[in-house]
Amino acid sequence: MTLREDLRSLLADASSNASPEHDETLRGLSRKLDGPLHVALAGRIKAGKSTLLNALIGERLAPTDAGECTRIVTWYEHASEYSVSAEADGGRRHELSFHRASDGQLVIDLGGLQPEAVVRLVVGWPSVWLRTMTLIDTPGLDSLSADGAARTMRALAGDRGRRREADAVLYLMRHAHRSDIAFLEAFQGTGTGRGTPVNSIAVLSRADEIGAARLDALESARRIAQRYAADTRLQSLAATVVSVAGLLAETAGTLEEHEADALRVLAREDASTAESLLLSADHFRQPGLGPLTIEIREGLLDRLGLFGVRFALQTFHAGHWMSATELARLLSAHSGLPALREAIEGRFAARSRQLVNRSVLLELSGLSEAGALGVPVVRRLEQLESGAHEFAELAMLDLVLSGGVGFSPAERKEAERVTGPGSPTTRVGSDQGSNATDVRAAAIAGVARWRERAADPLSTRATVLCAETMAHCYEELHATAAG
Amino acid sequence: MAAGVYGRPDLEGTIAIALARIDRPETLIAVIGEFKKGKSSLINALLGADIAPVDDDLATAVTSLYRHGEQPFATVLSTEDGKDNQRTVPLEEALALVREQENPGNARGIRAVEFHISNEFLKTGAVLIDTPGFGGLALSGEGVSQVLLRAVHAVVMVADASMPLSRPELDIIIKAATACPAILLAVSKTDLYPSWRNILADDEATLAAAGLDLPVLPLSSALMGHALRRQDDALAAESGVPALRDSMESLIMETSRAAECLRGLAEARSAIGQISESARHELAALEAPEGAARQAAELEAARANIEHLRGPGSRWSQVLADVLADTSGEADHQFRLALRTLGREIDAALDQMDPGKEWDTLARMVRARVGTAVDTFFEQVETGARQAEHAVLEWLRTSEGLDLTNGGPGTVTALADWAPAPIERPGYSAYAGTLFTGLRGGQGGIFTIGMVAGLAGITLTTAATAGIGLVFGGKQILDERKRQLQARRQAARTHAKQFLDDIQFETNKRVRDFSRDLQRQLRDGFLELVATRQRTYAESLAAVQAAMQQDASARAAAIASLRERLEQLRALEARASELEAAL
Repeated sequence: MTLREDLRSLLADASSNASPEHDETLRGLSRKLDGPLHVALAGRIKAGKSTLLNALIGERLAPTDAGECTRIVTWYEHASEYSVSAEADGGRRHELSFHRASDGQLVIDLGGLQPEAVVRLVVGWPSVWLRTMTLIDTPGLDSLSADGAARTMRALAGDRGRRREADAVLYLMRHAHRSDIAFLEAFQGTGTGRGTPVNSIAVLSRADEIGAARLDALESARRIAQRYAADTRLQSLAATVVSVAGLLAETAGTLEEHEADALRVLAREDASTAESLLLSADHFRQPGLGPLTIEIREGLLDRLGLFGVRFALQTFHAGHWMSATELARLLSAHSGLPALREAIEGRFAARSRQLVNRSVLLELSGLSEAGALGVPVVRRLEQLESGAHEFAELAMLDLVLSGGVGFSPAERKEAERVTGPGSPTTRVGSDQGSNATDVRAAAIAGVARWRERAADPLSTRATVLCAETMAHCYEELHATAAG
Repeated sequence: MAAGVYGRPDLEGTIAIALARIDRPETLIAVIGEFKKGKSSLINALLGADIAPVDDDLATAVTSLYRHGEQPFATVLSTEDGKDNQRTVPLEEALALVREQENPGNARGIRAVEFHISNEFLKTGAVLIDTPGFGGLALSGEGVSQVLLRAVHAVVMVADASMPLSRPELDIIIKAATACPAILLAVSKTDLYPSWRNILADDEATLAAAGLDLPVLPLSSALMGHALRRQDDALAAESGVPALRDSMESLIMETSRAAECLRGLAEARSAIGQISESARHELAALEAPEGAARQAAELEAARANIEHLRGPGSRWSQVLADVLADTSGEADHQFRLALRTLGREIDAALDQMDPGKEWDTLARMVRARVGTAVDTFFEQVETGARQAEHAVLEWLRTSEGLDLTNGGPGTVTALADWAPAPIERPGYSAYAGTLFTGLRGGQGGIFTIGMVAGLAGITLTTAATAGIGLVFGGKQILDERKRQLQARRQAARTHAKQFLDDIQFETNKRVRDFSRDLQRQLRDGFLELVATRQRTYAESLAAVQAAMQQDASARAAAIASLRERLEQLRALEARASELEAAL
């Protein structure tokens, strides 16, 4: 029986003799068990959450005005039909009417509901990207409207009697601000054993705006991301740090031929006109300069930003007169979105079941502590908690990544590799094309190495437990490789 | 100089400073804001040159002062092993210290760096102070010091056009505006964001809603950079930098300059008054020789009358000591109270949290609170000194009929003389310049000794135990986890208590030293004032006695020359009054 099946039967048992209010929670957990991973996008105000969400969906959907626009927690989940609904206080759902503005953004009519009374909006959207994970857009933290910030914390970190909704979080920041650290700490729970860098990725968003949007801004952003990734405080809070130019990524997904045309026209202008246009956002929109109308130029600025326009013109000037598709591909590659997708794939999606299972288990533990579950159920829950190797793996990874055990950087990498996605061959660290015998030998060597590490009398208890888990991982890999 | 001509070299120093003040009054302007908002870029734009280090990633780590000087050099102020240290270094070396990279977490204990550079903008008397931004991960940006805010004439808060003001930003503006009313908000990076006008409007609305009335100015340091390279005035105007300069000029500089001029004029008038007084006595003796003997006796009596004021047991020094003791006692009480309240809050917080996970947050809060308490303590003692000064002046006026208010020791405005003094200060004014430096010194020491070592040194094994219960399950481990949590809480509690004790001990010691220094400086200042006054009496007496010796013909010539001199002095006085009225 898989862990998921165990959990499902446990939930069914718990549900059969639970009080009505807990019954609803348990039902919710059952649904969650079979549903996709819930990934929240969080960050301070104007960190570029909605823009990145659009980039990830590949459509301009979430409103991204310059003001503080996302005031209600909004879920974007896969559905066969387009729909928007609001969940009010008390759990009631209201279907809402909506339309899309000319730029694609959703315009939602709350239909007389007060925004304060809406717990969350749910947007159902047919999108391949939403199949594997539901994305949750959140109001900015430390916004001036304290209410929005509080909602976000509630949605992400949970609250009395309300379960935490996100299994994983993409945390967006422009620079690592102290309040960012404070938020990540809060999301990971406080001293209750939930601390987990495994399910957080820090995103250095708006990478294109670094250094006054100079042409080398993205390289600069990557260097900054690397420095943060090596920062011990962030290391213990996020699995990795990735830099992304959200606006470029968003536009790359939807760039149209007429936009590329306009850019090409601009690129053919003489150097002095182009230079004076690119001085600033205001200059770019100044009337009567160059061949493009103000509306077109404003459109370009809106879609690409000053950096994007500079970047495109530079590409054309280098002799690469690309089509919209080619340009979009180039923008996407430079935006850092592929690296982010890879990180999401490797860190979240590959462990999606584990993360969801763990979320459910954590909620059940919470219910158990609150005394909402019967004794037989609690006993089975404890068995599950202690018996499941996949939790041992996740917990070990948490400890290793957060620096809780004294693993060397090489050992850290090894722990990530062994528990990561991929075939047994890559996970034991053998070359591609190694035969099964080699893989098994490597796995056995791994077991021996980590058993020895676990036997070191000077190791702390945590290190010993983690080393044993590592050995166990290699055992499992050996078993898989042995067929 | 005038005083030299009139035979009063002791007044020369006062006049020199007064002249310097009128000639080139300095305006201290602090540039504050969150980290990576473009504070250093703004300073470069104002200076019209790339001087302050700017980096995509690394932030300014040390408070830096930019001041005019014909010869470029830098002064580095540091605290090592609790001792203040000041040395002069080449510009490049000092620039490296300012950057986070070369001086991570300000490990070198540098308090401030002062750059002297030849620059048109600085020549007007502006002194720009670049501060480490707040909100970053580095320890250096613990927030803007209230003492700094109180010591400067003006504050430029920098936010950027990428987002509306955030809660921490608004908080810092409110705090800064209370400490220094001359404040303006510069919204930077307008070249990057098409909707900067909306952001600007939002910010204005936010400020208005918070009841703050301060100018909000858009700004693009990048455009200014282009403008400088191309020598394009239109572009420069567009960058908003000239408007910012004008705004600083009218809002800040003119008012502060006027204050400085007034102070300079008051000092000058005091000197003129004393010179005129001797001249008038001499003239009276010459014109009416019959009354000269009586006049001489009066002057002798007046001199003798204040002779007792120079004695060590003089009443006014008792007044000084009493007021200082009263105010320090009250300040000390407030400080103890603040620390005790904080101690209780820490205990309460520790009961609710796992110090293993949240120690850093708690430590930061404690640091900030302790910083405020120490700031306040020093401030109250300094206010006490001001009160003591007034009390002594008042006592002298009522009990001794001696009015020294015009051109008194002047501790109050001396606060503005931040960090190393720019002008060589002769005579009694020397102490005024050291006042604030001393204040900083006292605090700097505490921050390096107590804070960093005391709070950052603690590591509580945390994650190690945090996840184990979940992995390996079972009730025992859960219990073990609880026990360990208790142990961590106990360790944190002990540690915090020790830290607060250390702070209290160290601060008390430093405030005592500071208070003693203040008392000594004020005493010396008053003694000097009394001495100057006595010298005026003595000069007058000598003049009267000389006049009595003169024969009729010499007397007529002397009367004519004295009348002329008095006329000159009156003209000077009139001009000073005129200038004063004009301001």
